[in-house]
Amino acid sequence: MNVGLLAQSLLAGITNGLTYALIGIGLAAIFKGSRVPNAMQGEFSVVGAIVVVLLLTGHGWPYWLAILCGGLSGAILGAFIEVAFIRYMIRNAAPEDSYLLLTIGIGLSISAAVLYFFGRESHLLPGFGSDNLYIILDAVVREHVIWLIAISILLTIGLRQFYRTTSVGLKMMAASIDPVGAASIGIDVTLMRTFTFMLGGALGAAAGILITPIIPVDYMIGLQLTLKGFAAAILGGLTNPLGAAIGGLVLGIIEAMAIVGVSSSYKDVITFSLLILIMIAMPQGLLGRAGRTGG
Amino acid sequence: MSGHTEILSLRSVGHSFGGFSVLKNVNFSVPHGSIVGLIGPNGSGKTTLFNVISGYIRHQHGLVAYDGHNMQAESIQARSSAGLVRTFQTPKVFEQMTVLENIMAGACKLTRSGVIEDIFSLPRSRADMRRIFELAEEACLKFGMEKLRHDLALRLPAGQRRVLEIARAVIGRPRLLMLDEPSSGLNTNEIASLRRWIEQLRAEGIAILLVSHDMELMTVADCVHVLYFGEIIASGGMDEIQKNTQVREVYLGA
Repeated sequence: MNVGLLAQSLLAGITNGLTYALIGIGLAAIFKGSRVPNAMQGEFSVVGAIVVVLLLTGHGWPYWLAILCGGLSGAILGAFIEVAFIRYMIRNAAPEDSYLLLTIGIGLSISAAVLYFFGRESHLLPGFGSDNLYIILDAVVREHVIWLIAISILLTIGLRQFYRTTSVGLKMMAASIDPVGAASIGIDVTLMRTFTFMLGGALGAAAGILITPIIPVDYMIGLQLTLKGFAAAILGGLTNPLGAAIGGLVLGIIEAMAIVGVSSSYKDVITFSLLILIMIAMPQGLLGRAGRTGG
Repeated sequence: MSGHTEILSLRSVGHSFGGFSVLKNVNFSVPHGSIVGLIGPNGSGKTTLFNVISGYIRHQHGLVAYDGHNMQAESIQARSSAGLVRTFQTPKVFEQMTVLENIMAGACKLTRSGVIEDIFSLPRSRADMRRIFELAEEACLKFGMEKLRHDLALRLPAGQRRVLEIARAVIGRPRLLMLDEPSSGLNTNEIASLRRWIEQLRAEGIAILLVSHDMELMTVADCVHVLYFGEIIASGGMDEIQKNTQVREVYLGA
């Protein structure tokens, strides 16, 4: 294996890994904030990307404005799901497994709606910035990939800063850790849960918008992204959004190495076999017990 | 401060669980800036009464008035935002947050910035955060936690968790602070500090409703009520209570 091929694979792994990371971060943020295992996190990506495609190619909106609306659509969908469904289920003391069924159902409905309104066609978005290609360590890199890596890292760091250094972030974190204690100091726990779903939705949409210039979006891709996001989040400890970032990167890089080392047909088999081994050896996730409680 | 002489007033408060009355016709009040104690054997209804006053349980009978307003329809967070703040028998600290972040979370209700300002870190949000950061640093000093401020709350021993919970409650500028067994798990020095803080809070005009089994600590109260099977059986100063024959029989076991 030459250096160029290795660098190219590593870069592809980092690119995909950061996308999985964003989906995993959103999933972990929602799980941490509400204990809802969100089986439709990938659908946020589909909705975000489709909204951008629609506004950009269908209505000729400026790309930046379409991207902004795509991100907002994820946040609005997240808020809708919390207000319309989750809130009532929590009030009625629904068991955890019922949320899984709910989110699977919503995910399938969104997938069916995309099929109904947009058909089976795949849609690609133009890359961010120019179409320039760059050579890094013998690997050819599209400018969009550099944007994707930079934005993903900025979002991950920004999320940590948001949780730790803003009033609403501290309240969201407090409400997710101990709702009873949070209410006692005047935090509106229900509102914080809605914000958590909005944040998770916006992160999912961001992942979809970032990946669509590389991987076309269609009505089926949501489930695949959810599975990768779940794997990333569980690797990182599930309740730790920042652990999911590391989980996503590990997942992406293993996947890329499996493609270059064996075959793209077997990448999922090899990747998930390795993940199973990691989870047997480190059941608390890559960051251990401390990581599981952090973030 | 309003024209009412009492920050908290309970009139004929009653509550039952599955037909079993846990609170029966409870009447007492907490004057502004005073310390009122509540004692009683285990199962006498003290924690239920705390839950009723703080909104965790909606009482079935009577009136709970805070600063002259009926609190029946108010949520827990609305009561807390109005200055009615409580602590818990088992401290409810945010384990995955640092000591400083825990205390800052308690001060978040003092901020004026909105979500959008927070997300984009606009000037008002930054100013708010600087202010609550400074307040939290001061609280760490005041409660002797300055060396622990960057430690995760989950690493704190039981006594320090209790101190942290009190610091977090106090930073939000309560008008009525309800302390549930605050000396439990504290060592002698910590209890002495706790007593000093309680007296200092009263001097600052904060009313305190104190539940404790620690009779020595309870001497800090201006007035003590004894709860027994959901009923108040005696009220008065601690000296008076300790001499009360009925109290000695049912509570002090003498």
